[in-house]
Amino acid sequence: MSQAPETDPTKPGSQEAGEAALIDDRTWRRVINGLLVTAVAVLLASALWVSQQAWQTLDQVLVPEFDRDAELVARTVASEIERAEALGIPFEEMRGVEAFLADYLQRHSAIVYIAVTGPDGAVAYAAGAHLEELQAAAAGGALAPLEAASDVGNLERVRNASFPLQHEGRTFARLQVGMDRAYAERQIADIRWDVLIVLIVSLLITFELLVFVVDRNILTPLRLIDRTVREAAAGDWTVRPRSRGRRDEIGHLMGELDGLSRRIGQAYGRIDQGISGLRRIPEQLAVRLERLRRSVRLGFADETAGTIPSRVDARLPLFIFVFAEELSRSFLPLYAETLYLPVGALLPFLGAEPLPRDVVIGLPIVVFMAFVALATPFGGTWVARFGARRVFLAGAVPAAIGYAGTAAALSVYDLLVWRCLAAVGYAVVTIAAQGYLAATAEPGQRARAMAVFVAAVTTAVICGSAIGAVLADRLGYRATFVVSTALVVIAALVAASYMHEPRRDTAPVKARLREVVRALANPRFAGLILLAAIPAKIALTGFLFYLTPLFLDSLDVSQPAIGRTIMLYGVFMLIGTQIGAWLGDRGGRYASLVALGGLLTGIALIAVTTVDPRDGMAVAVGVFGLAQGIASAPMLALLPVLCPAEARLYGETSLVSLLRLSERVGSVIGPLLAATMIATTGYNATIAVIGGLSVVTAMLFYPLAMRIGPAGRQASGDTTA
Amino acid sequence: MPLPLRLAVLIALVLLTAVLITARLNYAKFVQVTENLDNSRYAFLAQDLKATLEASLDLGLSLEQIQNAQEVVERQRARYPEILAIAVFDDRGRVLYNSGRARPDLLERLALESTVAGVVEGDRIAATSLVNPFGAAVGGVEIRVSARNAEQRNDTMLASLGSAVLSAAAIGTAAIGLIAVVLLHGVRRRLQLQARIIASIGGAEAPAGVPAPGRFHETANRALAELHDVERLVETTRRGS
Repeated sequence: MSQAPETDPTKPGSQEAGEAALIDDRTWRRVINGLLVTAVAVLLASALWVSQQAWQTLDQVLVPEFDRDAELVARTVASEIERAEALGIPFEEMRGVEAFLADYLQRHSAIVYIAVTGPDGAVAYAAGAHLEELQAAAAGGALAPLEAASDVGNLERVRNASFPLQHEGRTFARLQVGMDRAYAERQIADIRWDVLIVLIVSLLITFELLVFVVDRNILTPLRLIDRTVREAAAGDWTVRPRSRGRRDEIGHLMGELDGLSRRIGQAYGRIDQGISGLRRIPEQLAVRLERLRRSVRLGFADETAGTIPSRVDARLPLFIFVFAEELSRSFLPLYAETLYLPVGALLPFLGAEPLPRDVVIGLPIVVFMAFVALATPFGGTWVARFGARRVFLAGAVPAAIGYAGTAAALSVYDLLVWRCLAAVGYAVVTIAAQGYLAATAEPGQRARAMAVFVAAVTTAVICGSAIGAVLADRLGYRATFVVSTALVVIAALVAASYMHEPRRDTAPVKARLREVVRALANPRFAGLILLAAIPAKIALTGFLFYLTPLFLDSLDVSQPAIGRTIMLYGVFMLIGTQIGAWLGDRGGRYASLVALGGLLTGIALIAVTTVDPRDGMAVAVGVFGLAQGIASAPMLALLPVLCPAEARLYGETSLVSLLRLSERVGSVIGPLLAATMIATTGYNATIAVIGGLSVVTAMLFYPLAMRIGPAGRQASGDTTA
Repeated sequence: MPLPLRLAVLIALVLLTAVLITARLNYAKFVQVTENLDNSRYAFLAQDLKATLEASLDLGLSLEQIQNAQEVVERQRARYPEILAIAVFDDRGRVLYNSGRARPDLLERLALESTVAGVVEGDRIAATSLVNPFGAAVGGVEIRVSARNAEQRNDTMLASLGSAVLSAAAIGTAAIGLIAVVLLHGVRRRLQLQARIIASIGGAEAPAGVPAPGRFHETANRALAELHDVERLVETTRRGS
């Protein structure tokens, strides 16, 4: 039933057409790609249509609202000027009018100017900005004439509302109120960004869900049918696909197969019943029975017989789980800030504050990273002992409690406890998902299975950070953590329903951590960790996770804009990873690429301190993501080159695990360093120091990686050395 | 349910969820923007009243002694029909001047924030504290506005979004259904053929249109034949004994 190379399985008349290639890769790829393209096109069109309707309605509503506000301000201001006229003060001799207008100007953020034009139409009194437009319009006769009724019109950058100022039924001047046209456009632009983010996130989520839906509804049942038919063709009728009441073509096919198996089982049953009535089995019958048992095997299926574990089973719950964690990426320090209480308020006997405020705000990230590092090795052991599915489900429990507790946190101090629980859950669940993907990988396809892990996590990072910011803006921080809790529960339910404990064949012997740690004695490996991996994580957690939300918030950047900025890291990291892998494969310049990643990171961070950070931060985060992506794959590829003996002794996987574990030190140091520095030197200096650290370590790493020990020459397949 | 329909329904559900999220976020942003405008508008009115009343306080009058305060309050309310009530109250919460159904209950909040704007008990309110020349809070001004306008505005947006979502969902589902039918046409035929082949196993002759049997077909036929042979042999033996 598997695809036979010598026949064309797509032609119904071919010899094996009846049975061959239910899972014909080319056909299915075409079908799935076609469905995905259709789904994406439909989603794009639908979301744009819905958003367009929303923007139109908003536009229709906002313009009259602005006109009302202009009228409101005009009425208030007009009554004062009309009173002055009524008191007999000549219009030309009114004093303090401009200060009076300036005072009103401050009370409404959308008003750019308030002015009074005299009987000749020229501007007599004015306060505010863009007055040159008003003066030009007055000089050009573009404003409403003196005796006209209220009038509203658009100037280049201003929506000008003009109102008559009257005394005893005679118009003596006109009040001009300018509303910032860009105000409305800014509000709409902000929504457009949000909708664009929602669209991108929807597309990515739809892709994840579609992969899952197609796999669970088509590919996995077909794989099961394929396996049933293959094994039955070899005489094994043990495996029976369960149609679970499906009424489509696949269900019908499964039903037919099931019916056939049942017919064979019933015949067996009748034979057994017949034999049980015999006092003696004649030799001829015994021979036939033995032959039958050899050619038609029938028995009880084991627990995995009716299912086929698939990579997709773990991909969706992993995606949902990481998505839940990433929802808070853009605001966790801001949330911690709102929960901050001086220790002195809780424990007055302590006197002076033991830790600066900024450091306390950074602690939730620090403890999270530390507990992820601590729990990861245990997670690996538990997966080996209890199985990936059970550990995934067990890990979801502390995670859900952690997020629920975070949502209800009373202060930054109990928040630390909840973040510890969430970290343990996160470490255990991600390790379980990795274990599941490794266990379900076909021989020789482990890298592809790990690529599924990376893809799910990266997609979740991009989606989570962006949509989390939008949710926090609309629903608030606590409600967003409630959403995280719900998502963790959903991830666990999906895992419980669809993950099947893979058959535990003889697992590859994995070196024990305490043995692998000896690899740190290799100065090249230690150099890679100290000069490349740890600085990268310091920049990630210190700059991106901790500093960026706080810094942008201090610049009055909106929460969705903070989320969009942080999302850029994931997007550009994805691009950088492809570039790094491509460059690495072409030239083998792994050390150069790792050093380049550090240098680019440093330059981006230092450069942002010299420009307007409102725009500069987005560019810096993008370049930072690109740099980290460029360095990520070469860093792993460099391991066996820098320490070939250790790679042979402990295995590359163990070295990668040790690298990942060691770099968590940087994840813990990052927020602490950033917080301490912000408290003493401010944001710009902190960014410069983190950037400088990246530059210095990158410049130190490159010559060290090239020159220390015998691996130097190998690494300089890197010809730039 | 045929395979294309099954897939189309699943994909349509996913897409509908995404479109609903998009619509919900648009709606939430709309409400946020218009509420901000409302808040700043009525806060502006409250600030205007505050300026007028504080000008009298600056002259050394107490809040109770401002003679034209009631007239100012009534004039402001008359200008804006959506205003339900305007109240001026002292630092103990006693209403000194009011127009409409005043319920000043914001003293505690005004002690913390100088200006309050938002929705309370279904009404939009804007309030600000009144401060004498020495900086002491002597009371406050509260404007209470009917939320009906905002509700109507939100209903307009809901209706607009609702019709957009419904039309997008209907057209989208139809498009996906159509494409799924086209894309899965060959696959369905193949699956139907497979089912017919399996159904024909053990039968006297293969149904029309079924191609030459493959290995599975032969093995299954052989197994059934073998089972029937053995079954007959068992039966014969049982009768003989």
